[in-house]
Amino acid sequence: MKKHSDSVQQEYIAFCKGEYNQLDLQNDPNDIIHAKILWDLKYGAWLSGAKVMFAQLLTGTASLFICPQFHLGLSSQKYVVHAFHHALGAEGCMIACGSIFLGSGCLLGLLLLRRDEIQRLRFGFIGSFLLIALFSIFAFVVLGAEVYFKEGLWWVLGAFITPALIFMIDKSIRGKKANYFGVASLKMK
Amino acid sequence: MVGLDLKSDEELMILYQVGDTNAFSTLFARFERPVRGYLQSKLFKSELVQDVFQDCFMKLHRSRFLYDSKYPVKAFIFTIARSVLIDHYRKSGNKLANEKQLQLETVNSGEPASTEALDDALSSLAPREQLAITGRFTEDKTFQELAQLLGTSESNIRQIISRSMSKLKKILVRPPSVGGSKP
Repeated sequence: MKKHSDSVQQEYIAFCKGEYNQLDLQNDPNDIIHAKILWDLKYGAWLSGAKVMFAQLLTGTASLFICPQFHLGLSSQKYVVHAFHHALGAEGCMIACGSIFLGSGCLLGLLLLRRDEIQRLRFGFIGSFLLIALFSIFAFVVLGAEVYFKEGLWWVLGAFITPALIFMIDKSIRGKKANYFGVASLKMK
Repeated sequence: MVGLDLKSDEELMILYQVGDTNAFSTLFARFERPVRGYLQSKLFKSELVQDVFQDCFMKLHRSRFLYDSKYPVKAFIFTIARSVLIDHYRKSGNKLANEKQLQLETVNSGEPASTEALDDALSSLAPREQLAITGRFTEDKTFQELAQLLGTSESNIRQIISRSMSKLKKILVRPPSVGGSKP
């Protein structure tokens, strides 16, 4: 084991000293990956945002089958709403409904996005769900739902807090540190 | 970009994390050659080097937020290059690393073992071990093929080869009359 780590350290020392630099490089092939990464740095955030929107559209629509929002649903099923209302009261019901509507989108979004996409969005990920929540309220109004101001506020609270919590929990569970094969502590310049 | 050339790797990495395209380009220009050279020293086919090189930088890009500024960027990039190389070996079952190690194994004088010495060392192994070693390194058989040939499991084949390699190393370091395994 020690021998293996010694060889890794030797390779690292050679890497730092530039001993691997003796090459003739062709320009074109290496530009491909360079261009790809530059593109991702410039436009990747928009793509990530589109994935989040898509995730929300999918799960939000699906959730309307089991949990109508502001009396607007895609089925006649009202069991979940009645259960929330009975257990949590009117305000709790609105918070729960908002949580389901956007929380499910957040969960799918975390699955669809790569780790670096989530980290790039960072708190923009949570902020985007606030925007989605406000946009959703607007969409419900347009579709004919009866949205009262107070009810709407509780709904937005649930819709915003749940993705934020899910994001924080995900970060703490899946937080990852790089493994440096023991070379990082070597004092090389 | 002139200002960026004066920045340290660590400063550039932080800018890259924030999304600075010029910082990335500067880092790429600095590390393109060392990474490619490192990969070329480990792989033999130039098209493989190109593929693995692209994988390295893509992995760097996707792992950029894992970088901790208290460690040098060189260590981070080297680690990524090495881990991508290991992944490549695992996926392709590429034994070039082991084969090269066997060929370049230093004997007492530090010179690579001669063909004769290798043949002598091989002949002192058990027939099963000889078959496994020659099948693997001379005929490029996969572990699966060797397992079928010898009528055993793949994991057992790996153990046989690993034990045989250790025996060969011991034999090549010491004269056959002193040590070595019996058939």
